[in-house]
Amino acid sequence: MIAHPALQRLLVWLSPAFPIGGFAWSAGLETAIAEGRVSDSSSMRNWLEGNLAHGGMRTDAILLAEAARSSADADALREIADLALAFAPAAERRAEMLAMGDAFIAAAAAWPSPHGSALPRPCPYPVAVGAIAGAHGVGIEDTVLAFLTNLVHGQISVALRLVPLGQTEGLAILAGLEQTIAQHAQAAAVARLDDIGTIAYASDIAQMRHETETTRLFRS
Amino acid sequence: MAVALPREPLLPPRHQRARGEGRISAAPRDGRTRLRTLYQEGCAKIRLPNAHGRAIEAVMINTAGGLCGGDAVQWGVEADAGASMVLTTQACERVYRSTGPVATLGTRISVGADAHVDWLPQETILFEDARLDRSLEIDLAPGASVCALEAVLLGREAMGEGARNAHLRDRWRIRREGRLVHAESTLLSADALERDGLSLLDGAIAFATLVYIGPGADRRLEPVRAALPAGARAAASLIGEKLVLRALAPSGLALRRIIAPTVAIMSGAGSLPRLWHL
Repeated sequence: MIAHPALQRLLVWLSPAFPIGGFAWSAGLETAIAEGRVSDSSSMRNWLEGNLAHGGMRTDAILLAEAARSSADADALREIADLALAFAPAAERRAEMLAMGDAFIAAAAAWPSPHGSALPRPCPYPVAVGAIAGAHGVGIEDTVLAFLTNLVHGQISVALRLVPLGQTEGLAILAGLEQTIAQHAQAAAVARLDDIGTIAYASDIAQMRHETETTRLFRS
Repeated sequence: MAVALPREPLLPPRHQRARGEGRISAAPRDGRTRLRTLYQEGCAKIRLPNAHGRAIEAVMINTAGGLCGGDAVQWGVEADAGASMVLTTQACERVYRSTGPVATLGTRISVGADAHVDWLPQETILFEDARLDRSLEIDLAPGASVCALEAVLLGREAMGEGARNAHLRDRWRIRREGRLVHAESTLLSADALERDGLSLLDGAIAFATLVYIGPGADRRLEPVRAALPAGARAAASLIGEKLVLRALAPSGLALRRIIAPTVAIMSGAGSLPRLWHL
């Protein structure tokens, strides 16, 4: 069983209330909803399954795991951060990663860690989470599981507002994806950077188009 | 009634894996770019059509006529400081079915100070059960710029083939003075979700990524956006000196209609290489 301080920290760091401004970003979902591509519970679930299996969520999970393994190595963390930023095809994806990453580092400073100085700045969100959780000795698979659950939850919150989906419908998607998220967390925890591979063209195009949308509630 | 069906060209039995390596370098002289070195081996050939522009235009040819499992082709391009090069392929690269090994296609491009390289191969067509592992490594010196394209068609449209079991791994790493500035790790692993997922290919059978990195990326963003055909599933975004365009299309022709006007703007050449035509 996961040790108490580790579980407590994950529950706080990867809760929607942790002050990193996650509620402000939609990662292109706002555009997908505006274009009618995501319009109900099943299309929302499909959007998420794709991103978990072959999109940005999987990439972020692998980057997080690598950062957790390298939490004391400033050079390695900087290389992982460079790779995370180099993968970003859209300006808002980069902005989202950096805003949340820097906010995460600031908020997590309440839990002093021995390797705080090893973090690159600015720091992409998955790298910040991985490095800090790793420095605190939190298990990698547990961290990835909490991270992905939080990301999916955040996306469902976007859908509740914009599709709109009912509260119960939204939570049913999250409940239905439990197994899937757990499997992806398990795989990502042992994957290496060379295992990263995506085909999330529709998601990337949605993120790019978001920049030119006339009505926007979210920053990405 | 007998119906003439289009046939796959009969390929001679091949026991030998095709190997090829082509390298080209160029340098500026008298206000134009001239060939400096040319090396070709095996199935890789490089032709230099009579180009009248300021840039040198090179055409890469795989004389094996496509890639089979186990084939390996390497391209190397070096633009000296101040040189300007346009590289393209003579035809689409066909990647045939493989029951075992992957075909590999590797490209290394080095762009000297204030030099420019356009890397504009024609589309790669993945046949059913194709296995391709491709990599593109680009090193940029200070002031250098690059425009790089990779376009992929899934299956032969005329055959009604969707190549749902095709495998692709495509790895790009672009560095400016040693520091990574752009990366792509594209992966198709024959999972149906990749092809149909709403956040993934969403049913498209053609896709492309076009990247420009260098001075003046910001001036290209609005013209590129304006050049996208109405209704096209494509978009562009600017991050610092990097401009990325992604496109999804229902056919090879629809993809070319997106690529043609945007390559012309992003490459800075104002037109496509002559071998590219609609």
